[in-house]
Amino acid sequence: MRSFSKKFILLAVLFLLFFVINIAAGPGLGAANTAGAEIAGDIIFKIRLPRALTAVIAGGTFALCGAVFQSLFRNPIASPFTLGTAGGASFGVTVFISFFSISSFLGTFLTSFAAFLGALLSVTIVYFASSGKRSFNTNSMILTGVVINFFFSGLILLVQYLTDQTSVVRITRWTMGSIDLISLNALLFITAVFVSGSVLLYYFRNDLNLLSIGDEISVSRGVDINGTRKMLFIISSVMISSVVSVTGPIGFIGIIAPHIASSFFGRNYRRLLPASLLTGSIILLICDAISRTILYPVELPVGIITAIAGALFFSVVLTKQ
Amino acid sequence: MIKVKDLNIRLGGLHIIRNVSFDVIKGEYLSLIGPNGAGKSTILKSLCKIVPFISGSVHVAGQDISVCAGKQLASKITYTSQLPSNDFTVKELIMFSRYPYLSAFSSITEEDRLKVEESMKITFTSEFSSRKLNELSSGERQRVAVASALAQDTDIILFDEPVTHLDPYYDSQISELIFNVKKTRNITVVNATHNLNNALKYSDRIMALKNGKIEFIKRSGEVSSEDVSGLYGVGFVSMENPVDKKRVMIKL
Repeated sequence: MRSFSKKFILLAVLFLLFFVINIAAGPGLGAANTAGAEIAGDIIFKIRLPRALTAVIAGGTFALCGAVFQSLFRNPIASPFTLGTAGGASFGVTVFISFFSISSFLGTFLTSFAAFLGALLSVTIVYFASSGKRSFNTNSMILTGVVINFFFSGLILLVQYLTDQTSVVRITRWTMGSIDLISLNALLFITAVFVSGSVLLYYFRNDLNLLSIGDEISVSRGVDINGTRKMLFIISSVMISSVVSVTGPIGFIGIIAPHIASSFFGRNYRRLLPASLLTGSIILLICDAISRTILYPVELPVGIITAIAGALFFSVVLTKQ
Repeated sequence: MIKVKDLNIRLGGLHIIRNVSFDVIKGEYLSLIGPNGAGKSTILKSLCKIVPFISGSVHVAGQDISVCAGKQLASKITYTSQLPSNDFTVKELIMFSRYPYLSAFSSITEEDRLKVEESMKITFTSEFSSRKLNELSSGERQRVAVASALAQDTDIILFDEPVTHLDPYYDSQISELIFNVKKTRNITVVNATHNLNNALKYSDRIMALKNGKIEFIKRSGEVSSEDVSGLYGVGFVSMENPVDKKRVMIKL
């Protein structure tokens, strides 16, 4: 047990380190020095800090929900993306963007709500498509997720085709996934959802352990499997939706972060949940710093970096197994 | 301890259990025998709400299980079959059996730890407590299954083929283990098994199922070779074991 607390301290140190590096990375601070400390302060507190916090929250959310989905579906590649949850959320947001403005607090909230409806729709379809028969078939669930992803991608393209030019640009930019230009309102909103959602998920850690083993053992140990599954789906969907509505879909973290975390901390959700959260945050902090510096002065949407890095990482893991 | 009345279970359109009624008294060892597909597992699973029933009633320790919350029921009765493969260590897995006693934001108590240690000691699993389930042999895994059932600290344990796939050594080791624990802790045991001679040797009564109906419930000393032959559709002969003077049955 003591070795785990040491690892947690190390993970927390890494987290802080990359948080600082993320804020320091990129253009602006050096140039601002000549213009005075005030501008540097503005850049740090009004642009870089909110952005780093967004990276922490988005990375943490995708990682946590990935870990939860892996228990619910008993499949190591279940994630908000493989199961179409993020696809559904994206569709909700796309529809919303093409019809409404999202700059106000109410706008942020409503976008998230639209994302939530889309996410819930896809989770419901996946759930019923694969749990209809006697047992919960995880393979058909993953396949349904793939189909749903295609379906929602099609619908998103359809909306893009029908809507006006400005919305098309906004939608395209948004579907690439990025964490720049977040309003303070939006940041407050996703922070509130993230903190309460994480606490709630941690509340279910014992259930998640048993559910990851099997239904029979869960019931015989006293887990209310149907109620618990529904609760976990709703909590994860709300968390994913709130983040996706702000950042767009940022793939792969939901699979990779829990995978890395479990290789150091084991599969026990008492440790896996906090470890995945921190790992997911660290990954997104790193990817964001890269996206800001790699093609300087051009800044890439971070979704591009996570998708490419994630796919590479994933194929390495697959070939090793 | 267990009262089952007019139980009917339908799964996937099939009427699997038909009007089954039986009682199990406190501290009793009841064996469930019968051909494959007779409904032994289904009945055990219905007793702790893993499988729903369409009509009838089940009372466990005086409580109607259909109105009993999951955790409450799990502190009275537990079901144990082959453990599915997983990445947890033996100790972690056994600790999960303390679920009914854990509250959401509290951590593991000294009592939980003691129960887990004790269950591992009785089942001789302490020596590999930090190995992962996936790395164990079937015999070791089966002992872990028994250990985790014991750690749940229930008055009733339902075993679903605890010695299937085990060699004679582990078979008798685990069968003896279950019998001894049942005696020392005065636990009520229901054991679904294909091992007829274990059933004859250890249980107080034997309940035979066929096609979802009870064929007979008898004290184990009163079960005849004709009963068993009729049940399985293959001839059996009854003899006395010269060593422990218990009855054994041999398939012809």
